Amino acid sequence: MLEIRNLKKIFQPGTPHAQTGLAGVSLSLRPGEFLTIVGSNGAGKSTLFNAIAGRFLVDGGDIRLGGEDITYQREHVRARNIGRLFQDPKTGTAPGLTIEENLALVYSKATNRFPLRLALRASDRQYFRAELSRLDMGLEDRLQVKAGLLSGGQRQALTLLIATLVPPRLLLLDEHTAALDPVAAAKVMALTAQICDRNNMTTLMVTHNISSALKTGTRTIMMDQGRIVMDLSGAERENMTSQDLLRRYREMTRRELDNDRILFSGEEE
Amino acid sequence: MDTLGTLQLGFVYAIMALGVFITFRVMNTPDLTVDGSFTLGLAVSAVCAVQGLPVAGLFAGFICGAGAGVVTGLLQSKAGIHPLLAGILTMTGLYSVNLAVMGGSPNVSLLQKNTVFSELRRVFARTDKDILLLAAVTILTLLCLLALGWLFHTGLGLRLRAVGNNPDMARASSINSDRICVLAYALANAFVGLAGATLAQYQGYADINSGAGIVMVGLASVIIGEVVVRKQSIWGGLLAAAVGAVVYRFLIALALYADFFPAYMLRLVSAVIVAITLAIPKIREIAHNARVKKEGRRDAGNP
Repeated sequence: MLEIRNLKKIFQPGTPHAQTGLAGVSLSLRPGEFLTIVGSNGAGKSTLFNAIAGRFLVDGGDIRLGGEDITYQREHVRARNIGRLFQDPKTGTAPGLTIEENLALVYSKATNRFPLRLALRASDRQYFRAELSRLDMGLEDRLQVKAGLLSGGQRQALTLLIATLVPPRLLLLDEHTAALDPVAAAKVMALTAQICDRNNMTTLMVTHNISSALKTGTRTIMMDQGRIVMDLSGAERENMTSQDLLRRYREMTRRELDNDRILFSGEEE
Repeated sequence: MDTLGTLQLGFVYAIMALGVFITFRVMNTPDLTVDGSFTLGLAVSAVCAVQGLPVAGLFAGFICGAGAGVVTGLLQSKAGIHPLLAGILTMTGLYSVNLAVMGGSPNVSLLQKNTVFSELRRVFARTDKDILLLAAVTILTLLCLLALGWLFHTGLGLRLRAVGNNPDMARASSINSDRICVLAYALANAFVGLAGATLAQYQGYADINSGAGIVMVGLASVIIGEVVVRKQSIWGGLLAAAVGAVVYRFLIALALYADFFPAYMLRLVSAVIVAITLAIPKIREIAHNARVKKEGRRDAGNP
């Protein structure tokens, strides 16, 4: 589904601040594969996401999604096939639009409805209500509430629903539970697993929670200094614990995995 | 005080306030193109009426206003110029364009010429002149309001609102925010141009300085309207802009009637009204902090 070949990016090249974002990343994902990504600060996790989503153009390499070369496609064009969630729950919804308008905004566009027709029909409302009730947050009874009035967890769950209402080819989750309180984070993570599973969604997820990276999805990679340094799947990944992973990292790079948000929680579960 | 005249003028300016609402509230940026596009509307409308095409003049005002908006929209989205500066650039350039439209003369008179209003008076000869004028401008304003209210609930309208509300989300939802931005500025200035076009034929002349400071009137109208109409939806916002424009006219008429200040002080009064209303959140914060401090000191005195 996703084919990345030798992706390179240097920020501010030719200046004393030059910084390697991606130093030749290659990655291949089968349809339905759920990949989690861990790594220290500045390892290139978010840079990889921004490159795939088209926030900037890469210096070298190419990106194919569903067989289509999207390396130089503009951001809003790629967005048709790529769903994204960010750490800040405020980024994924329009706060001044109601819950149903947020859903209708994306739904009317994804279903190619003529832009000068009313975006919300009675049948849409019915459909949105059914979809919202799956989130189990009571949002189905608050369709006309502005999205800006929801809690962080509710907003992130709504963003997840919006991003997958018409399933994209690829879903990018960039530490999307990091800003939530533990209860809301667990809830949103459970919803993520459920929705991705139901739609057999090809997903990339960056997380600061190592044990959740190993537990969620089907494959885990570790990034360091703009490279993929570890690629775990199958039995090797099944038997890996957070401590093993950190030890492997130390041996490989002769450094401690340093990430100011890293979490070892859930290790004992 | 001339109540009917004030109402008529209020409804003409209400169309302009609807346009200002689009950029100021929906797109979250005050658009300074308005000063130029309003005069552009007056100029093309007057020139068309002189040529014996008053109805075409209204359409021309709408279309030319939209064109001015496209320029500002392109300057900021494609050329990356700061939105306020983009508006000022278009407005400044339009001064020459407007003079050119009026054949190099600073004013065009419609004396003895047919206007949409003189045509209406001929058709409805039996109706009272002032009532007829009021009905005409009220209906025009209502039509504009309904059209915009409907538009903002279509798929395209939701995209416009999303780009103004959360541009990151809009881009991530595969919305071409550049194109939407240009469209929003075109739409806003189209209504401003239409308001100018209507005013020219209503008052019977176009003057190169008619638009100076009109953006202040628009902003003041939107803000005053929001105090009167407190519903925070799109319909509420549109209604507030229209009502605010009428209220603004009455405030001005009242002040002039009661001789609170001479006519030349109008601009200063508008500017002060807008400045105070925009400062209200900060004023509230200062008042709140002062209260907290005072209570804190008192509690410290009596443990």
